[in-house]
Amino acid sequence: MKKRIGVFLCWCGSNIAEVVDVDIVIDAMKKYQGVAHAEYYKYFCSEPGQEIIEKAIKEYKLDGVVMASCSPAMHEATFRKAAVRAGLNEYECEIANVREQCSWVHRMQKPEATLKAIKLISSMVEKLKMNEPLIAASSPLIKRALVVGAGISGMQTALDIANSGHHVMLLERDPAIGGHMAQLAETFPTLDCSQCIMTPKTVEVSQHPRIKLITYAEVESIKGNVGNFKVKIRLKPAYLDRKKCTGCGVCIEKCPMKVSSEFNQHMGKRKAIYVLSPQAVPNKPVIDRENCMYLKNKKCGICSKVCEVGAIDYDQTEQTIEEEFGAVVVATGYDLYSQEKLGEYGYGKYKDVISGLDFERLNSASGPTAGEILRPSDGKVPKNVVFIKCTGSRDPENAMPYCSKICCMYTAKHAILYKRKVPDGQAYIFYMDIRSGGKGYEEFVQRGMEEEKALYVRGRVSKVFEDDGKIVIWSVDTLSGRKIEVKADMVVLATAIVPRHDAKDVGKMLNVSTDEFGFHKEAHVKLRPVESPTMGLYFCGCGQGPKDIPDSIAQAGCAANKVNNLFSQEKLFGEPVVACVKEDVCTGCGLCVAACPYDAREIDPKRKISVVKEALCQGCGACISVCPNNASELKNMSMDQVFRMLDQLQ
Amino acid sequence: MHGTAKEYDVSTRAVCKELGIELKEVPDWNCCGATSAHSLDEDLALTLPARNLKIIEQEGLDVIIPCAACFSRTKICAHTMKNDKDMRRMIEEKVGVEFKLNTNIYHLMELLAEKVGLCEIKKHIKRKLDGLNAVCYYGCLLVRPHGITDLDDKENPRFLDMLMASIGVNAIDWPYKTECCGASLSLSKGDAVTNLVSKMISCAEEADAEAIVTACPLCQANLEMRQGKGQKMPIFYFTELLGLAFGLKEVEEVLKEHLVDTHSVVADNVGAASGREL
Amino acid sequence: MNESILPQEIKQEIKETLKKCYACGKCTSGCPMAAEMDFPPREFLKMLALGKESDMLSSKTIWVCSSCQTCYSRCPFEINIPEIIDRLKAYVYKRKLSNKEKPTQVLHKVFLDNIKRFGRIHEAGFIGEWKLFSGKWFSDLFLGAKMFFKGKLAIFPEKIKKIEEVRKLFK
Repeated sequence: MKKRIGVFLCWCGSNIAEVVDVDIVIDAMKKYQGVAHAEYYKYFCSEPGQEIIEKAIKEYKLDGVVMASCSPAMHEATFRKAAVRAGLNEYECEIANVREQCSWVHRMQKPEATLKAIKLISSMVEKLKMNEPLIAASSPLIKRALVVGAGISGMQTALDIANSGHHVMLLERDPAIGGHMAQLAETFPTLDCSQCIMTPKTVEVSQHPRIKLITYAEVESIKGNVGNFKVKIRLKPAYLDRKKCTGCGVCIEKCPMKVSSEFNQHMGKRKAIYVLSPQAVPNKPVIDRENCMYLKNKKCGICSKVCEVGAIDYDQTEQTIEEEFGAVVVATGYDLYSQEKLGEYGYGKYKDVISGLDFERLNSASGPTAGEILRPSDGKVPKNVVFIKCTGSRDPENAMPYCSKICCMYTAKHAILYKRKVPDGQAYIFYMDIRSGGKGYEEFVQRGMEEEKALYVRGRVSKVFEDDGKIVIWSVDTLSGRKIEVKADMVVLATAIVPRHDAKDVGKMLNVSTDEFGFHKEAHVKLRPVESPTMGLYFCGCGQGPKDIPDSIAQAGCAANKVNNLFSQEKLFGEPVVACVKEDVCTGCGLCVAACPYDAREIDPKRKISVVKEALCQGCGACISVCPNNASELKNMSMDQVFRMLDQLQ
Repeated sequence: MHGTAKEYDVSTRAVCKELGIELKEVPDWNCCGATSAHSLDEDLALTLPARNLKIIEQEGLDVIIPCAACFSRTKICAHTMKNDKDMRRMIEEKVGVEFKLNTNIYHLMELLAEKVGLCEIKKHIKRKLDGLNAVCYYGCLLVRPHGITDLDDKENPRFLDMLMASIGVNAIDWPYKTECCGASLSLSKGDAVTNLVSKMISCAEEADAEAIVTACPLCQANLEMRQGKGQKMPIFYFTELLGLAFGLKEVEEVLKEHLVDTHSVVADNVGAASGREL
Repeated sequence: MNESILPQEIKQEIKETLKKCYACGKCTSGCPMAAEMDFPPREFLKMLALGKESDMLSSKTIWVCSSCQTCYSRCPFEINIPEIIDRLKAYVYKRKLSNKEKPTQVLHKVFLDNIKRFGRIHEAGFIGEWKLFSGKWFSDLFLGAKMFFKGKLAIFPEKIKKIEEVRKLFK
C-alpha cells in the first residue's frame, strides 16, 4: 500500500487550465489522504516539466505518481520513463485523463469540470495505492516479415526490410507483381514511363537473396501475435511447373482460347494460358482454369504438346503452406469504384466512355493499341476528348464522400499525353476544384492549361449519352453560369479509388481493422499512420487511403522502418499488465480457456486450475468477464482497486 | 382517364381483362393535385392522395396507378406517413381515418413486368409487333424521387423496354428515357416545352424510332401536343401496343383518337387491317 | 438562410443541406428548364445561401421549374431543390406576392379550384378558366378545337359524389 503519492497537474498550455480551476484542484489533492505532494506546471511533457517530476520524486521520497494530464495514449510512455529515471517502477505511474475526458468536453461547465477533475484524480490515487511494480515477461521474436501485396508499396517495403538484413516473404495474389503501377503509361509530374521506373524494383525484388517471392497465392488465415504469427498461405494452381518453365512463351502463342484481358481493362484479349504483361515478373505463365478447354472438358491440350521442357501439369492442385513471421505488412492496394453504378455517365453502356485506368492502357506502349489513342468503339482517333473529374468521389449521397486525391493530377497528365499524341485534338476537363498540392504538381497542371491548351470548365456533368456516333455531355460552366453541351468523341472518367472489393473480409481475417469504406484504420491517424492497433501488423499504400506513387513509396519505407524497429530487439517484451489467477478461488471450470482469443489460458492438469501463459496474454480482460467466481484478475486492476476507484467517482 | 387519356383508359381495361387481372375503379376517387398541389400547398399535396388511399384501404385491395404523377404523389404520401409521425397525424386528422398503410401501390407497368411476368404476357400474343421500331419513354416521375417510388434503376430503367420486347417491338435504347418533357408547364410555357419535346422527338427520329411508348397520360398528351414543326411522331401508351399484340378490337378502335396519326405506323408494322396473324 | 423572412416554410434539415452545397453545378447541368430561368438552380441555391430569399421569391425560377426532380436525384448531397422551390411558391401564393410568371401560378390555382369544385379536373373548363384569368386567350385555340372534335375535352364536368370530403381538405 502506497503512502507517499505525488500528484502532478498539467495545464496543457491552456487546454486544461482554461476550463479546470488548477488552484482548487491542487489544494484539494494536497489534503487528500496518501498524497505527499501536489503541484502544477504548464507543460509537464516538456523536458523541464519531466525534470520537475523527477526532482519531486526524489525530494519528497514519493512511492507513486499520478499525472493529471492528457490521454494515456499521448504521454503515458513519456511520464512513465521519467518516473523510472527517478527510481520508480513504470507501473507506479498512472495517468488521470483530465483533458479528453474533462476539459475538452466540458468547456461550458467550468465549476463542474473542476469537480470532475478532482474525482478523476482521486480515483486514480486510490488505484495507485494498491499498484504493484511489474516487470514484463519476454518472448522469442521471429525476425522474418510477411508482406501481403506486391504493388509498388509492397515491393518497396519488402526491399527496405530485406536491405536492412531481415528475411521477407512477398506475397502476390496475381500471377505477376507490379500491381496497378504496372498498368500505367506515364507518371506525373515528370512523365517518365511507369514500367521504366518500376522494372529495376521488380527485378531487384525477384532476385534479392533475402526476399522470397510467391505469386498467385493468398493468405488463408493468420494466428498468433506480434513476434510470432503463424500464417497459412494458399498457393493457387498455375497448372505449370514454374521451376521447369523457361518462359519461352510458345504455349501462349499456340493456345487457341482467347479471353478478355483484365490487365488491359478488357480492351484487349489474352489467352487462357497467359502472363499479365510482356514485362511480367515472374515471366512464367499460368493457366486460367475457367477458360482452359483442357481443364474444362479434357479437349485441346496443345500447350502441353508444344512445351519442350514438359512444364505443363494439368493435375496440379491447390496447396496450403504454413509459415512463421514476426511482423506482417499489408499492402493490398485499391480497386476503382464501379462506374456502372453512376447510370448518368453511361460507363459500361457506351464503349467510348472509359475510366482513367482504361485510358492508361490506351496510352501504354504495351497496351491494346500499342500506345496510340484510338477510341474503343471504332478504332478512330478521337478529336474531342472530355475528362470528367470527381466521378464517384466527393459524391456522398450517390457514391463515395471522400476526395480520391490523385485524379486531378492524372487527369492533367492524361490531357497532356493526349495532346502530345493528337496535336490537333481538344481536351475538355470538367472539374469542381483542382487539387494539386505536391512538389511540382501545380506547375504540371498549369503546363497542361498553357502549353497543351487543355480547356478546364468548372462544373459537374449531369448526363452523358451517345447520339449519332458522338458522346454528348450536358454540363455547366458555373463561372459564367451557362449551360454547356459538348459533342465529344470519347469520355474519360476520373474514377474514385476504393479499397479492394474484399478489403473488409481480408482485413477481418488479418486482424487489421478497416474504416466504413474498407480502408485500413491506423492506430493514430497522425502519429502512427502505418501501424494497426494490433501490434506487429503494419500497412502501406492505397489500402490505407488514396495516394500517389511518391506517397506510397514514402509510406512503404515508413512501414519497413517500423518492422526494422521491431526486429532490432533481441527478445520481445510483452505487456506486463496481464491476467493472473487467484489460485485458492479458481475451480478450473475452463470458461476462461474458451474465452481467450490469444491461446493464453490453459488448465494445469495436476492442480486442476487455470493458469496464464504470460507471454501470450494481451491483457484484454475476456477471461475476467467470463469467470463466474472472480478468480481471474488483471494485474494492477484487481476487483478491490476497481471498487476503490468507483467510490471516488460517485 | 375519362377525358384526354381515353385511349389509356380503354386499353388498360382491355389488356388487364385479357390478362385476367380484375380491375375495379377506385370509387369516387379524386384528383391527386399533381404539380399544382405540391407547388402551392404542401398539406394538400399529401391529403388529396391520402383520401384516395383511404378509399383503397376501405376496399381492402391493392392499387394499380397508371399515371406517373399520381403514382409518384401517392407513393410520397404513403412514404411520408410511414416516416413522419407528425405529418401522419395531420393527414389522418384531415382525412378523418387511421391508416393501416398495408396497401401495395403498383404502377401498371411495374405490375405487368414484375408481378404478371413476361412469360405470361407472351402467352396472350396473337400477333407480334415485329416490325415496329420504338423508343420507350419513362419520364421523370416514375423513377423519382428515388428510394420512394422504388421503381427500377433511376438512370436506366428497363421495365418498359422489356415489356415491349416481349411483344416483338424493337425497343431502341435512347438517352431521353428519364429526361423531363415539361408536361407540368405545357399550358403556361408552351414555347419552352415545345423546345424540349421537339429535341426529344428529333433524337427519337435519329435513333430510327417510328414511335414513342409512354406509361403516363401527361407525358403522352404533352409529347403529342408539343411536337415541333413538321414532326409527326406517334406517341403510344404501352397498353395500346400490348392490346394490339393481344389482338384486342377495342384497342384498335381507340387508336383513331390520337392527335398524331397512328394509322400508318400501325398499318405498316402491325398489319392491323390485314392481320399478320400468328 | 435568414430565419426572419421564411420562418417555418422550409424545414430545418433542408436548410442544413444548403450549407453543404459544393456549387458543382450538376443541378444546372441536367435541368431541362435552366435556359428559361433567371436564376438557374446552382445560382438559385447560392442566392438562398447568401440570404437573398426575397429576390428568389420574386424570381422566375420557382415558377419555371417543372418539378422533374432531376437535380435532386443527381445532387451529391441530395439537396432537395424541388421541395425548396415548392415552399417558396406556396409562400408567394399564400401571401399574394407579385411574381413574374403569372400564367403558371394562375394555372396551379385554377387547377386546385377545379379539384375543390369537382374533385377531379374538368379539362375543358379548367383550360378555359385558365385562359380567362391568365390573359392567354388565343394560345393553342387550334389544338383545343382538334381535341374537342376527337372527343377528348368533355363539355360537362364530372363531379365526384362526396365532394364535401375533398372540400374539407382545402380548409
